Amino acid sequence: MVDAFWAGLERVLSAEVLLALLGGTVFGWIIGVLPGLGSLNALAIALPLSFYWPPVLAMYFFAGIIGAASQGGAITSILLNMPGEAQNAATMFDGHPLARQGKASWTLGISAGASVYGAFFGILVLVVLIPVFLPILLAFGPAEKFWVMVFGLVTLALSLQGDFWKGLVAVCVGILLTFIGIGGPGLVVERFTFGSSFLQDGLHLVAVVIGLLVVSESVAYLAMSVRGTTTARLVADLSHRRSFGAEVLDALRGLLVPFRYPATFLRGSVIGTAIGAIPGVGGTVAQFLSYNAAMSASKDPTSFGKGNPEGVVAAESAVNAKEGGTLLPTFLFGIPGNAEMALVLAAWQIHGIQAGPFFLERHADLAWALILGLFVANVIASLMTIGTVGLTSWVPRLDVGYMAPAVLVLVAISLVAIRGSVLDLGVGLLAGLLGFGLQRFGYPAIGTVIGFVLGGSIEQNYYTALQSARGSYAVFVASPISVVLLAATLLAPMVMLTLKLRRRAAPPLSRKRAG
Amino acid sequence: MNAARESLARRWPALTFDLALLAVLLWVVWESTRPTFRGGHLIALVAGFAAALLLLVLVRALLAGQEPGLPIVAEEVAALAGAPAEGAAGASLPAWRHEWLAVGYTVALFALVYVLGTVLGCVAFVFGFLALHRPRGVLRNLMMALAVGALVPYLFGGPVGLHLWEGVIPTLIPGWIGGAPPPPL
Repeated sequence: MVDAFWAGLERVLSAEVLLALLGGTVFGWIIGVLPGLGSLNALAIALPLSFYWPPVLAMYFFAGIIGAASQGGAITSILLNMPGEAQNAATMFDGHPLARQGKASWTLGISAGASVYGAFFGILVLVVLIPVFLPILLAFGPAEKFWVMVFGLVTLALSLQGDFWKGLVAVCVGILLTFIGIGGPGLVVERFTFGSSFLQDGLHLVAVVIGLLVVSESVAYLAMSVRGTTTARLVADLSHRRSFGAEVLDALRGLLVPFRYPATFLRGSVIGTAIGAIPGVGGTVAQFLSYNAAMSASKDPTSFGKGNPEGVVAAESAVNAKEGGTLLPTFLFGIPGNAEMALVLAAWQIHGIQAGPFFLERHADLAWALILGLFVANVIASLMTIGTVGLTSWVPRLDVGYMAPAVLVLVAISLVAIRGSVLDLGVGLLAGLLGFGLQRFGYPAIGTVIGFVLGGSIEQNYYTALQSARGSYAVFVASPISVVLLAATLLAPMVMLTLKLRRRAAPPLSRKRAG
Repeated sequence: MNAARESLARRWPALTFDLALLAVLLWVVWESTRPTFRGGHLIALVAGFAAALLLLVLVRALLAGQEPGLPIVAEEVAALAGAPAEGAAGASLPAWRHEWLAVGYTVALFALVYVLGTVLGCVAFVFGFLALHRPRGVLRNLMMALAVGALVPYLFGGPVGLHLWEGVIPTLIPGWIGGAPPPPL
């Protein structure tokens, strides 16, 4: 592991890796700047390309996208009062008022700084915790792995927005989709193929994940376009623009601002890392939790929402710290920490790489590619943010009417490019319509995605455990780890639902926003 | 009575979706519990569990009112962006029509790609969509259609070397447009 770290560090400095990182960072940053689009779109478009690259290079490219997209999203939050990604929404609350006060460059510097330091924190926690968890994980047999995945899915359903029961249904739908094709506990048989030779191989992971997550969002984006939504306008006053050098100096001063709020920064980073480690919970939750916590702890909470730099620090540190957190369940259990990690797992599976306890031993180079890549991408993205501060007026008045069909077309091209098969396009379309319907009617599509990603492993471990015990179900409660996980799986919903009921009964926290 | 009718009118799409999903889950349970099914009992367990949960959700929805849908990221962004532009073609339509139109357009894109191929299908879709919803600027729309619909596939298919579907129409440009046999299902 340590050797792999040094090897990874050396590799990061090589030309081809830097090129891959830079490419992914620029791509992710630009996509992040475009309102309504995010790292998922960028990953979906890049995924078919990764088939033709060595897996390590592909990971660096993906790390670039993931690390940079949220910083790109923060720019539009601050300048346009419109988040580039949903997870940058809280940055708007104080970022945009600051921009309107003529401090756009300084605020962009704060955002860039908080992002990099937050990302570093999250990665540091990950690196420290991996050696702690790894020996425990190596003691996991098929029954324990089955329970850890079930527990992960139940906590995922608890963490998602909306109804818990619908979350569980969404997860089950995802698991059921994995049963299509050839499989079974003994001699493999055709299951739900309807006589189709195409379906014998099962639904392609990438097509389904892109369909459920990206096509469904693209449909909603297209609906915006049909509705006639145009851009948010650049509201920040640019009539007193200074020289480029002065703007950059302001941004550099902004980089130091997070150090003025160490408690806020640390709190945000801890929240972000912890939230990131819970599968399925995204940066949006982390950001708002951190922002609300900072406001509650502040001596002057009424200043939040009116241009308090502490608000920007709280929001951005959490969003970027979560990236380290999301890698924890992804590496250790093969449970994607968020939607982006679901796509990363899809890429691993395509290259024949299985996540899990042995992943770090067998593919340490991939792991370090992601870890180091995330950090370096954040640094590069911060430099890009600072380097473009003097050019804020170039942020175009973007018309969703033009972007929406373009996004859908790019996604369609990606689907066709997976295997060159138009049938994958059909799978992506159907998955997209399913995802759109699920989300529209209260079933979190991300639950379906993660259920689909894990379904195969859950089935494999279930039947392996049963076969090892000659069909005795006692194997699922035979070890202390299994018993603890089973108890946690049953108790977690009870505890969380009780807390939710209590929260509903309590008076809501008040929060003022600047108009 | 009117309030109940209005409530049902508001909730029928969600109820329809829930019932359709329940029907699928029950069918999966039925299929996987047949004596001739050799695909393992886990399928029936998962489908049965999901069906039971969904019944609970449906009963609760019928008794207490349907919960609202979840925000889709793009819609959250739209809400923050503000109201539609004045005079926009779709601005006067109710929200659900926008969604159905968007679904229709999505299906149309995928059908165009199947028939005309990736390049021609994407160009036709983008140009057609913009002609309907952004009718001013024919030249700009054409440039956009060519940039997204032709340039990007060319980059994917050319320098990167990915194989893109050519479409079932007769061959127009070998390797790019037309001539692909319909794939076997």
